[in-house]
Amino acid sequence: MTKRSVRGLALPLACISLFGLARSAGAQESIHSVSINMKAVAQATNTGGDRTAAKSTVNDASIFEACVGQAPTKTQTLDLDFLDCTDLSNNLVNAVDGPNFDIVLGGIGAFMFEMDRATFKSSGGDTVQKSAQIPVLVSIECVAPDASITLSGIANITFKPFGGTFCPETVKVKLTGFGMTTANPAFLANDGSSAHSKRVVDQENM
Amino acid sequence: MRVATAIGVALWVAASSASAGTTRFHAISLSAKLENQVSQGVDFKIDRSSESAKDVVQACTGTPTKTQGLYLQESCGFPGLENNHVVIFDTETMSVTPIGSLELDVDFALTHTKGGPTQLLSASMPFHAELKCDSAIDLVLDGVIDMAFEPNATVCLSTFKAHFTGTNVQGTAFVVAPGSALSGKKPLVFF
Repeated sequence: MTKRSVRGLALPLACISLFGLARSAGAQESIHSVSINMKAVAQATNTGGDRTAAKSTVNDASIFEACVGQAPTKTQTLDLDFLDCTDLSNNLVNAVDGPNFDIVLGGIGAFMFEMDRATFKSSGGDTVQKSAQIPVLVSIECVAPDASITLSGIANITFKPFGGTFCPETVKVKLTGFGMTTANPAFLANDGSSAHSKRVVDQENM
Repeated sequence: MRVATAIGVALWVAASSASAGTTRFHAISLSAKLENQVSQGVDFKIDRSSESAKDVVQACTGTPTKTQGLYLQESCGFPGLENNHVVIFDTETMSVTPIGSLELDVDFALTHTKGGPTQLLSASMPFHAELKCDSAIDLVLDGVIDMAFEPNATVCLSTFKAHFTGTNVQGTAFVVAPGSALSGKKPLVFF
């Protein structure tokens, strides 16, 4: 594990990150708590031998457990770290610990925004960025133990000014897709799945 | 396509069964919620509109007739349903203009059967679609589709419905927002 100010890739437990870091000096960074809830439907077979659907919920806690190898403690969770507010695609989903997510356990995914299809609301001309709707692909990938989740949707993002630019304040996205974890073999993430994030702390990188 | 066009008359029936050599078209109902970025004075705003199957047909044909519609042309079989086409189909002239397909991710298909695993009742799976006709329509959609099958051994679609989001890259970029959906009726079957 590592302090956020250092943010190396020393990973704890069984978590193996497939996602790298891309922090720029002087960039405004916005760190969010993120909750993910998937309406998972997996293939099952009933006692009569018929194929049926087994419904379950896959959420941020189960993703954390799938990637880190143990259930999160009360201080552990997932975050969504916008490493550079001027480049929303430069972000990571991390397994973290601490009140301000100071300890990064490992990067497990990213929100891949399709910026060339984004629509924005602004005021004061284009000088005040208020909100945006952006197609997004959410990718969670970790190995040993395993999680592989691919979700798509339209992210609704609100912004607040910070350090001369605008950082995401909230991200809300309804998602569909598919995935698997060690506890949940291949499942469909059905309509009604979603992810929400809310800004916890902003910082300017040195 | 094997249809009875030799004498200019198509024989079609509402499907209750299917066999080899038939061609099946499901009329598609579409409700895509479009959200577009527009300028209002010096500010950017979001303009909301919707796009129906009729709008797609109009955009693709220019001047649609009453007998033209948006259809899913199906190949029976599972797997095998992946070989489908989204088309503008004219039930009078029998002309078929493909504008894309529903790419089904059968690796993540969930099925319902009865009598053990043999008789397939329904399936749900992720899908990806790219629908394009000239420069008028350029939709990229992702979602989950629910399919109901006819009770026969060939595994032919009865009806389907899907929820999706996506983008339309026609002109100014805009998004296809959550709440968008499509559904397919029981097929017209041509022998």
